[in-house]
Amino acid sequence: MHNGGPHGHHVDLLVRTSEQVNEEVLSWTTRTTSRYWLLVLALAGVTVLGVIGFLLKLSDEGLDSHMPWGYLAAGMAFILTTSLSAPLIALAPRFAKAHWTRPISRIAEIWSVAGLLVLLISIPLLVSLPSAEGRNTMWFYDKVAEGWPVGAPHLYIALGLIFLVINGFGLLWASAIPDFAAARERTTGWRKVWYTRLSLGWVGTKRQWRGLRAGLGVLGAFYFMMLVFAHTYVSFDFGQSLIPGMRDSIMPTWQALGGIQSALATVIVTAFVIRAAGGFKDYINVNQFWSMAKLMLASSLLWMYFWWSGFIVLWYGKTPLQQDLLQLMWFGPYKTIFIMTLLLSFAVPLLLLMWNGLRKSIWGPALVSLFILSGAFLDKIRIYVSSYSVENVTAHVLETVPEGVTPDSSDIMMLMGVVSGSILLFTLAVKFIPVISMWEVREGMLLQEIRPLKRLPLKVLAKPE
Amino acid sequence: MQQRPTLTEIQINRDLLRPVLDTPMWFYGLMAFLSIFAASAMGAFAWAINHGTGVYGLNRPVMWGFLLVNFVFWVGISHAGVMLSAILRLANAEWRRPATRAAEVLTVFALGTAAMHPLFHLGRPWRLYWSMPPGYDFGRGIWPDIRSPFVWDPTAISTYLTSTALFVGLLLIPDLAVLRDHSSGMRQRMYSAMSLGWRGNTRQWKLQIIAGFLLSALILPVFVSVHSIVSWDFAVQIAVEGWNATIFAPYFVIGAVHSGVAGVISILALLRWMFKWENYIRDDHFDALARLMIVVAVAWFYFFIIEFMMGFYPNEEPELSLRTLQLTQWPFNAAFIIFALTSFFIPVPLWLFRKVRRNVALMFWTCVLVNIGMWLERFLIIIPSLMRKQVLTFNWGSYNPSPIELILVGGSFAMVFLGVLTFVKFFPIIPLADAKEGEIMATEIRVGKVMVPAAYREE
Repeated sequence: MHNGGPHGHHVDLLVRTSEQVNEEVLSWTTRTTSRYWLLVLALAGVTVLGVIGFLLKLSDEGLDSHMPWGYLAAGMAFILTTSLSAPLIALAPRFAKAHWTRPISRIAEIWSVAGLLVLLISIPLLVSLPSAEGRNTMWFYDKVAEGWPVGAPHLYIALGLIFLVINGFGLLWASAIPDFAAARERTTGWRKVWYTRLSLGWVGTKRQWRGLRAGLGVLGAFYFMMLVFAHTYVSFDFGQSLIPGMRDSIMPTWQALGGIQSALATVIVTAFVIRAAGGFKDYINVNQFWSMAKLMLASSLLWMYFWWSGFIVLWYGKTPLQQDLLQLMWFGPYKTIFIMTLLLSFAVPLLLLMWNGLRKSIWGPALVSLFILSGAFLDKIRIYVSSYSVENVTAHVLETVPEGVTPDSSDIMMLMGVVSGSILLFTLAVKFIPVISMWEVREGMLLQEIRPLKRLPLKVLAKPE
Repeated sequence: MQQRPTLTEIQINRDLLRPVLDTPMWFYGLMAFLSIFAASAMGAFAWAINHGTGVYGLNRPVMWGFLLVNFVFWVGISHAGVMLSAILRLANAEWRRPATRAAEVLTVFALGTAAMHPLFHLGRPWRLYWSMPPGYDFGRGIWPDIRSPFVWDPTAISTYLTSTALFVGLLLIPDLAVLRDHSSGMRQRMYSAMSLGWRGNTRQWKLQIIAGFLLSALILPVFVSVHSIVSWDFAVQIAVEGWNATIFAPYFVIGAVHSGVAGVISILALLRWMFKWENYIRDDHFDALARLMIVVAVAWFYFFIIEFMMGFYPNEEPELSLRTLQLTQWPFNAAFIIFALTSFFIPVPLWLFRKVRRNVALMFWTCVLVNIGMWLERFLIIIPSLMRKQVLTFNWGSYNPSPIELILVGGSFAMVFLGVLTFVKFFPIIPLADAKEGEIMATEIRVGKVMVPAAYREE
């Protein structure tokens, strides 16, 4: 895989034939080991624990009030931020015609399967969510005409999430069609049957490729818009609009940006594991981690910038409402969580990723990603548990700053179940959907070369117009 | 597949140094024409100093008018420099090459022009030093309020101006050496002094590249902070409806990038037409810039929708009256429609088509539309909000810009273009070194029967 040159100058480029790529990726996809099934069992066990926690909570508290469900809302928001945002890491570089994303784009797209979990979790949350009547929501219920828009916010949240998940599945399916076709020719039994169905008769004509690229472009653009929209209405309807008088216009955009940061972290950690477990060291090398680490550094800085932009306006104004909001969200009962979030989502990533040696490694970005994911998890708890703790959602302003809500055993079980459930879905999916995008990797091999320039071997990258 | 012409070093020097060494007569005519407008602006400023700020259309509660709109507009335009130069340099984007210096120069002159606007506004500009410590009377020890964004503003703008000027100057050194070697007499002495003994050896190039990367990375926080601080001039004011929004900082920054990059595209189109630089400012450069604009425009539009929607969200009368003014009353309703169409709904759908992205004339005009829209955006943020500043309706005001303000605004455009043209007269606006490096790095890869454009990448 390394192409050496004089003076020990190494340039990483995958050296394989097309058949070797197909063979290596498909053999891992179709082969399951006992270790794999142990992992599935463990994840399934924790997921079932989460279900038990949910049922316990349901029997104790019911769905009449939203207040007991803050931790579940935080869990859903965490999955939206991490798993459902991960496909962005495939979309954006594909739009920019970046080559480094080829081996990891499928890993990013497969995370969209966790959308099933988001849809499931959203059901009790929507049932328990208070009606829009008498309070401010982004749907302007009762403001334009009485009772209009009908079904707000529940109907629109549900539709938004459903379309997002369908879009994510569509994107995953479309990008995998050529690989399903390759798998169709190389498998037997039930796999062959399903690969044949899902490959939609793909043979790789010029027209089919054109259609595929156009489809990926459209689906990708829609997914991006739907995801940003999802961050907007989730942060509004499960967060801001439950706090009377809160008016923080940067919050939805900050959550969307946090999604990008968490998406990068999710894909880095997953790529790290897949690389080791699948033996894909030649496919997923330091280039992928370095490129994502640079983006993660930028997104961590932006995270801080967005947070500061929101904070300074609220802090500077010093109106009684703004001071109450600062107490509730940042400096009151959730102060410790906020400080930890600041450290994990900004300070630690910055201090570690600023070192090029760490950035240009494989373990470095993976380690930082774990910090970022922890920070994102705590941040969701801070935002959604605090929002859900406000009792009188129809007041004009926040009347009192409620006490902090500590998680009980059901909450802890639900949170564990949510995280393990999403990982379980991913783990099951990678044994059917080729985890490395074979067609993109093969295309990349055609568009990259090593050539000497003034006796130095350099990578040559082509970008078809 | 687009055929890229092969250019020799001699050809590059000859083409890109032509405006400097062999300036056509029309160039001087154009500079004279712009000088008239710039001089008119200075004349208007002198008139305002002589007669007082009453010559402006400002009054309670609209104490900020066209001059502040223009100030924010030019600070916004100045953001293109760092966006294209620093970020694309760090990302190693090949298509940045012809655009970087034009963007940086536009930044310098836009920022310089923007910095003049508070001076226009002051009435007694000779007392500007009161805003600097320990300006206001050494004896009384009254310091400026560092908690105020009006103190952060000049700090940020002067830092940005200094660092961008340093950026331009540093990266100009190799080209100044080429000019030194191609000129004679007084000019040769001038370029020789400015090129700081550049010989182009390995060590000097290594230092140049490292400095370029370091400056690019260091200037990025400054770039973000400048327009954020300008936005906080408005956002931290709790008394003015429509301003006290947490989203203002990134909203202003992304809007600045939107208008700034559009400005650079317009300048590149003009340069290509004026100097016949089709081989240097190619269609694929406009294509890449247009794709960047799509991303930036969509992000900006999202921020705008959130900011606008939040105006209605709290459902409170003072803010609703502001939005009613913006949407239903003349001339703001017309300005709003024009703003929406020109800043997003006309250009962005057009940019989705490859044929449009590669058509220089269409790119030029769509980017001009963007800047018209973005000027109107700042107009719609500042003036209607101040007109509805007070809760009590009998304190509501109106605003009519005076001829002096209109001359100053128009003259500011002339000043910026004049500054850029002056730079073009004395220095190469497309970096010679970058153009030559681009030629060396450009290559092709054969894929089947087709040759695909490619580039060498250093890692």
